Amino acid sequence: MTTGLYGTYGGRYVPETLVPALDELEAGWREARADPDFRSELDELGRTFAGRPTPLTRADRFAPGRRLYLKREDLLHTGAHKLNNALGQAVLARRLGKRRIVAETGAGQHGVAAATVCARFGYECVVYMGEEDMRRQRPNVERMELLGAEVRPVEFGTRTLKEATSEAIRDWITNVETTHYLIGSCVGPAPYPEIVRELQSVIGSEARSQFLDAEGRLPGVVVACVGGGSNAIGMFAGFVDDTDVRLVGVEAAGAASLGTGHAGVLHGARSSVLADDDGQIVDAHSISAGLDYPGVGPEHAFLRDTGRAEYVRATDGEALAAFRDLTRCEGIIPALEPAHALARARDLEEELVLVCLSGRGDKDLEEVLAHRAG
Amino acid sequence: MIYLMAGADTPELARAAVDGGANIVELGFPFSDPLADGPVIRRAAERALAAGMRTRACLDCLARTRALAPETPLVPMTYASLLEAYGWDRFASDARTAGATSLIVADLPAGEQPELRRVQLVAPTSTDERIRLAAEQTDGWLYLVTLTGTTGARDDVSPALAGLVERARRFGDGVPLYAGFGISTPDHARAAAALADGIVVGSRAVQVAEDGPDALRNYVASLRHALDASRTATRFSQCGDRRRTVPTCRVTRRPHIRGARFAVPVSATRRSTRGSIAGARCSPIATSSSCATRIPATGRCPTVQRQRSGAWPIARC
Ligand SMILES: Cc1ncc(COP(=O)(O)O)c(C=O)c1O
Repeated sequence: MTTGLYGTYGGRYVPETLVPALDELEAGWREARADPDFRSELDELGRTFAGRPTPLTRADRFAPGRRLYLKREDLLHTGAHKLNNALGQAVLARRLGKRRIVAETGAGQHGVAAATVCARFGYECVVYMGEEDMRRQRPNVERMELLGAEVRPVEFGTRTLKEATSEAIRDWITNVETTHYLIGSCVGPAPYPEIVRELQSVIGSEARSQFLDAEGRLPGVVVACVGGGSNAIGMFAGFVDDTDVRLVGVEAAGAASLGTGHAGVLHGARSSVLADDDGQIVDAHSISAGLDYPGVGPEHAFLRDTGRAEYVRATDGEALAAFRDLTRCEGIIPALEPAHALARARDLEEELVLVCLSGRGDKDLEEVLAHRAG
Repeated sequence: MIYLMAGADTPELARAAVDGGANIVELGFPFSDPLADGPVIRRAAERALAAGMRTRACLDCLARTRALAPETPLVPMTYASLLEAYGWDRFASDARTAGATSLIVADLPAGEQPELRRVQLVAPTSTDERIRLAAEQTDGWLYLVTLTGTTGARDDVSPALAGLVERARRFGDGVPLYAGFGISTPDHARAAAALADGIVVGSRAVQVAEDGPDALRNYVASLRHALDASRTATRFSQCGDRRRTVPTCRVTRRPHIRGARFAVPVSATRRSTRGSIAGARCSPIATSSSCATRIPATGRCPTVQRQRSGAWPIARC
């Protein structure tokens, strides 16, 4: 492969129909990045629409005896880091002249972010979501519909994020001339992993300077949950050159594409995936819809192989316990996805810890309450 | 060309397709997440996987198909994940050993993994430059994706096909063009074959195959009949016009360089060719017609022109 490589990962494993669109996207992205107006429009939207910068909150009672800070992406408009990416791609879509957006969603946070930017920019919006996820993330389905998006249930296969992503890509193949595919994580064919990383890197760059302000030095370890890997890669982007800072990604135990997967091809890129010996993708399982995905962004596979980042796992039960503890000790209800990061962050030995609290937990209440009852 | 999903009874189905008049059989090796496929082939893949059709079993199926259809080019069609897991070179070589003539990888566009010999696809969205690249890298012929979309029967032949054929003729350096996606009826077959050099039928063939070999043979025969009838009609009109007759030939000579593993009947209603091999063996497909007398019934064609070295031969009698 020649384009978009992270070591041997990444690339463009897509049907020919999409290649010209990816070339066009890549050219549009290069142009936008070189254009100061693009940067300033995004900064302005971040400040006046999305609520950037998000604060850094010390969590003393959750992690007694440590200096653990939360980067509060849960306070971003729409309730998760996903909006950083959606806003950037919405501006990009306008520059490309595309007025129809397709997206996939698992937890529904990316779907809500996509529906939100489409409402604001006046685009048509179609979101694919697995039936199982529509059930467990009901409030987000309702939000998307209120925002004017059409939510199309995906009723076959795993009925979760993997199938929703495949269907979104099939829609894009069919409507590629009018449509921008607003991918929700740092996955997919080049140049998507790079675009999403750059748009999410605002998390890491803000957090780095906020941490320096608060502590006068850098954290010993930075922790983020990893589904497709976008909040983690955005956070890590701020610290990857600080070689003393440990980078830890936390996957769901039943969806550990980096921890238990191996090299494979899924959704347009070569990365570490959950697949059997024949290359057939196997089902992932997680209580958190946003982590319930058998693939991961190619840059994470590269960071794992080079040793720059480590990837560990948390179980459903550990995530639920961390969810409860943060809620009770700090008055912050986290989403189940970052609850995985919180679960592992407490048993790291570093004194100075920075955790990406990628989203808030309103969407998960029903699921958590059901587990408490059961 | 007929697409079938690999499965326990695929060899018999492939034989039936050939008996019905298929020139090439494409054999789907199922993948769990087939991005280029619509519901019919996706569901067929799900069923095949549930029945245990993993790579090894698919290769066995290919070998058994080869035994039942010894003369027919067989082309496995699959996705990159299977090759990544099996090993790219090992896959190509084991497939060849099992009887594969070439290979199609639906999510591996031209330019990527150039060392893997395979049939390349071009689509209506492909730029002229990409058509040129695909034609240069392809193994024998180009697969024209007639529409922007996934596999699956459609009501009509895509209006994008004519423009794509026109560009592929211009930039494809004379490589034969086979059109697929959305073609399912004899009328479609006729309409698509009026533009391209051959047609590919996938989803509908997979559906008909569920009713067994007889149903498939009859279905393929109905497509074959439509194609042959329209070719004869073309020839009549050309005779009537007193233009130079360009009949349909069977070329049984193998091209020498690239694509040398293919030896299939190639229709010869095409003009743009370079170089020539005089005296290749041809025989007309359609016989009883007023101008048949002007074609040698069997034996030598006056000329068989060939494209740039390596592509398949194009016969002109
Ligand atoms: C709050 C939150 N965090 C994390 C994720 C996982 O995605 P990623 O790994 O791309 O950050 C999601 C996905 O839906 C999410 O909603």
